[in-house]
Amino acid sequence: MTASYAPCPVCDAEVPVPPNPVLSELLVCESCSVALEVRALDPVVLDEAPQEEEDWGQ
Amino acid sequence: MAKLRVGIVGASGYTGGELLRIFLHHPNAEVVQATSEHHAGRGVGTVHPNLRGRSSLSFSRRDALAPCDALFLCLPHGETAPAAEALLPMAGRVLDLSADFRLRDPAAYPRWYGFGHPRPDLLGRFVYGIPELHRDQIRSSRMVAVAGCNATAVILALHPLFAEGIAPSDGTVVEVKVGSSEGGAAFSVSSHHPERAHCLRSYRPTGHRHQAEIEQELAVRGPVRVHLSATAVDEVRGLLATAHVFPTRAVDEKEIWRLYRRAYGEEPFVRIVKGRDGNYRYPEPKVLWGTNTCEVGFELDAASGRLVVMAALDNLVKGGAGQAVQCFNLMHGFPEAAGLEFPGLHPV
Repeated sequence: MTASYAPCPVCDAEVPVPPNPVLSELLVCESCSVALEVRALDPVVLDEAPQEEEDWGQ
Repeated sequence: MAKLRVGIVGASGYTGGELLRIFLHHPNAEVVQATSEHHAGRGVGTVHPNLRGRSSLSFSRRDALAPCDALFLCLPHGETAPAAEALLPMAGRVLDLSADFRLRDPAAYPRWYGFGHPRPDLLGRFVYGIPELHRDQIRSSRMVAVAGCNATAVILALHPLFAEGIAPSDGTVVEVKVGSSEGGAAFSVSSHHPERAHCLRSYRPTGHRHQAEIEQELAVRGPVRVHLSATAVDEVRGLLATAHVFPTRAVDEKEIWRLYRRAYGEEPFVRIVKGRDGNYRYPEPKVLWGTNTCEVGFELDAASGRLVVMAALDNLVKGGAGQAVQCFNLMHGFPEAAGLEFPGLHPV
């Protein structure tokens, strides 16, 4: 089976996509460690997964 | 296969102690002589207490030095070059941790170090010791001038940008925050505990001598000027360099990511750190204590175009003894990480 890749929306690295991905599946970019979510399937589109917000402003 | 026989000149200092520690676990080499004029005759563990019970070696005087396979020179700046005639023939390969052979231009020494170079004929024979920049030259060299600690961090932070022409030839500002061990094992009024403890001190706002080697090594596309300031902070080990770069053209974060990944993606001792969550989002010196790793990270201010690049390392390891061993490994065809696998501690 040919490996499938999609670009990381944060750092532009090629992120390996497992066979038969499903919408909302979570992946992690090995380059920038950002959690990603599968947003579209044909072609596969990745976006940043929603994060719990922290307040670093104090 | 017999281990290589290593000598350390000036082994009672901090980088000498780190070399002794690192070579305890080196599979291909062992330290057989460690000189100190002041501590001659005493066990190395009396000065470096972490080595108590781990090394049976005692300090010897420099005039008792015997020929060996590789010699590490850990003398203060300005003391190595005058002794070169006696020291350099003592080993097949020599690694100098002082600044005496880092600069290629002899005229730079009076300006930055306050002395005229006594052996300008030797300057061209030393390779500047940052493997990430000069790996092939180091492999084939007999003599290496190991880079300075601040210089290593700043150069690794900025080299991809200067090589690509993204950093301007003038106008980049760098602030380094440094711990007290950068000053070496010799003490002074400024290192006296009541004076040094809790300090946050601008000790070299301009004119830091590492600027000379930084500008030398970043001059990939022509002469450059980097504006360096150094601040002493209340730490023993570690340094953090923060560079403010105003790019020559519009860039985005993905381009910077690609640039640094291309430069360091395969490097064993440079780690790109730019997190979105957690406590350690950017380079952090304390998690690097004792390691040979340099962390590099960045953040782009899209509104102003300012690119902030950070680098952190342990000044005594990747900024000194560890980088020297990395060069030593390359010079001898050993695995580059031999003796340097320690991953650091957490929490510290």
